[in-house]
Amino acid sequence: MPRILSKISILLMLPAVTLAAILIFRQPATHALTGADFQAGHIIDDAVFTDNSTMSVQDINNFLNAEAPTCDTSGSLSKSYYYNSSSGEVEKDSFSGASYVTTTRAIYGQRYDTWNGTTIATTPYVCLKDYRENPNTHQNNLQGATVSGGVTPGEIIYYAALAYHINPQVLLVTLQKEQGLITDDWPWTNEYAAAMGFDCPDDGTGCHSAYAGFTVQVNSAAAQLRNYLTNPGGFNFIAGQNNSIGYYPCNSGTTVFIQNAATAALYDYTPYQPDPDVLSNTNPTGSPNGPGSVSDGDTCATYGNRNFWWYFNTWFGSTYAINGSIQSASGLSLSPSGSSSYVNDSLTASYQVKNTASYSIDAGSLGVCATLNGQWYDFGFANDVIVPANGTITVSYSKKLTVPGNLIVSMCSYNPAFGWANAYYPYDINGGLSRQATLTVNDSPLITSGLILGPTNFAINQPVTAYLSIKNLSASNINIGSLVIAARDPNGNNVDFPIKNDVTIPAGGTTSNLTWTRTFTVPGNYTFYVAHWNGTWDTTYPDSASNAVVRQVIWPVLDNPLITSGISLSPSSPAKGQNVTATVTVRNVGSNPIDIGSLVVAGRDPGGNNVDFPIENDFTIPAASGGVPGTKTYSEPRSFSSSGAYRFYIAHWNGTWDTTYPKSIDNSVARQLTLTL
Amino acid sequence: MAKKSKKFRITKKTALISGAMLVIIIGGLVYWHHHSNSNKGIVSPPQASTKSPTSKNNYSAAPAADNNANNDRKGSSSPSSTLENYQPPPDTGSFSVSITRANTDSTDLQVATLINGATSGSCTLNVYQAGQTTISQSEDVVLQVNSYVCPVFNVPLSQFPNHGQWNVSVTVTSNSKTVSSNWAKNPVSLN
Repeated sequence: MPRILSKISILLMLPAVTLAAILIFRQPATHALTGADFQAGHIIDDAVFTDNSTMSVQDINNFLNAEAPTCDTSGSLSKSYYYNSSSGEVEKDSFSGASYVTTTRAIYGQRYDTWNGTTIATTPYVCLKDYRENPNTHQNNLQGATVSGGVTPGEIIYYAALAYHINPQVLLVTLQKEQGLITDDWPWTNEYAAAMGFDCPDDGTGCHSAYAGFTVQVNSAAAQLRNYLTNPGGFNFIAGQNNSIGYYPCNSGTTVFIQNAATAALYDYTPYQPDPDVLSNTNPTGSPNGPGSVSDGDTCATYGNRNFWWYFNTWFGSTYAINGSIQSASGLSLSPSGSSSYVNDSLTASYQVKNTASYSIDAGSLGVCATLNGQWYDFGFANDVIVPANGTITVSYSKKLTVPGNLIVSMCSYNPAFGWANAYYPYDINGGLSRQATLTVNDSPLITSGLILGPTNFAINQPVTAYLSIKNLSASNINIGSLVIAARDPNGNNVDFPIKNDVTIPAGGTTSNLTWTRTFTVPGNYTFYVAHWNGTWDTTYPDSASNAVVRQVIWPVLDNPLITSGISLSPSSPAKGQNVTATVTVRNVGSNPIDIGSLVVAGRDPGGNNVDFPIENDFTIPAASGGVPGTKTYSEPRSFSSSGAYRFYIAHWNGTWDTTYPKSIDNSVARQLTLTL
Repeated sequence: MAKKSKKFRITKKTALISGAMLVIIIGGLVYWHHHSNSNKGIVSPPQASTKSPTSKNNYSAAPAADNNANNDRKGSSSPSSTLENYQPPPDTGSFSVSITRANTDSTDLQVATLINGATSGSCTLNVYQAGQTTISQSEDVVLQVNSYVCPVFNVPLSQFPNHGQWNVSVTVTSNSKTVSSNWAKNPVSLN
């Protein structure tokens, strides 16, 4: 190989070697365990022991099918043993008069039962995967009968695990440790009767019949394991203390500091530990040679808890959880509590996490996550949360709710070793702690009473007030920014009411009645609507409390004052020199009297000379009352002496003479009149 | 005599390639570190997992050796009730008494006892200190699921005239035979 290529090869290998080293460093250990790995004071973590989510019904049944795939139901496989055909005695060890024979298991079972006076060993042999039991009547198929309402062992184990918050894998391993039921391809009925070894004291009297039966055994054992965890002070072994644990049946043992509740529970159930001889003769986990046993001569060999540990590691992986001592000390709680809240409320979600280890632990990332209407709405999160030794911390985050909808708040956890683990980490040892809360976020503030204008009928130059009622149901005051009743005149011009800035709606559901007042100068139909400013104009905020809330109206601004009755002379055909009275009536629809200044019926004689009727100064039209417009009538007399055509017209003085003011209410109003004397 | 190794000469080309590779390695490590930590923060949506990190179901047929103990038991005319203990129980008429724990909680001295070989009788707890009156409690032997025990004794700490070291002993009388606890840790320190 050319030298340069060799160098390149070396250089190319460097990143691969580096990466491989990193990956290997990060992988959890997967090597087989040996007896030296058995820790008497820490057999299994509480978190693993109580994780009842590890297997489904189907998982359990699949597992049973896999472990003993072929069942020797008819007992056709061979069995070798010592047998005396005369006495019928059968033994595994040689005895006087015995021959070493090989028969089928079925024949052996018959001979066994006959010799021992039992009824446990005859066919059919029902393997656990094929076992069915009606959990109510406890009728089963061990005698080959069809069982009405029979359920699978997967269902029995699963629901016991669920009910007592115990890992179903713990129950499976216990079935194996006590009776070998998981792997037995020709189980006898006594294995089912005492399937979990529940109520089977090690006193030589055998198992008691009160708890005989598969379902009863599984349920009772699961309940008892939970009882050990719940009431540790009432039993023989306790976590966090030195305990004396013996080697069965010897009067010897060692002092063991039991580190956790699950390990104590195992000893409460099986009160012995494997002696050093058992551990040194323990095969590596996963060994095809099984867990192993000591050679003859060790009278202190006991295998129960060793086998539990061995089968669990072989079948289901480590008995230790990552950060197994990081546990939930409380469920998720919300403050304020309740199933509903309001926009603008501050919601605090909290839970406690404890560390049962005697050293501090980086629990990973802990926080409070949430979704609002299906969108992420996390409260907060912190990485590398340290939980002190034997300590408890509170994880608490608050968030101000800004959007109405359905809010789901949950404990949130991430550990680099196993990723997101909201569903089970920190571990809930006792079960039943809430990890999630759901609540409805109601909208707030809300317009409870829509846009109202007052007075109902208003005219130009008349103060008009717009009313709006808003309620804030949240627990704190809210500054909604700027709010205005926008207005557009008949020509589309902006004639908004004065804007209100920093509008604060007080908390607690008290209604805020907001008002805006202004006058308008142009008569006609106006458009009024609610408008909110918080960076941009928004006509939808605050939301309406109901569909009945009016957010926009088109309303007329009336002209005012108006002449409702034009020039009228009385008498209408006066003679020369006769007094004649001119009248003009003016209407005021406003809520205040209007002083329009001076009003006169002006007159011009045939020669064009001024023959005005007398001026009425401070011509004041009273306000409307009770919905009835106020009116004032100009009424002045005078006489005329010349013959000819006279012309009269309405004239208003307010600094200058104006013949167009006040306007006429309609075209029928006579603003000019001609009279011939 | 070993062949003298050739000195590795660093040429410009070699240095260039080495530099490039170094950049790739460092870049790769930086990317890896960033990538491996980027999902720790709130930026990544949480995905709830339903599987324990320890879950590793081994769906394979059990080796025949797993049935050795069971098959062995089936050959015995007096099979053990479980597979936990391959040894026979103690001889009839003899039994042992073991104090499994003697500890204090906030209010009591707790003493738990395991009896091996006796299924009935009475238990007497004696807690004593030189020069002091012995504190005693009695209970009947009971079956506690899989073991015969003396129910856990709870002696209020208020009954002790002083703390310090106290000796603990449990005596069981069954079928006219009396046996005292043997190898428990003694004395117990009351704090």
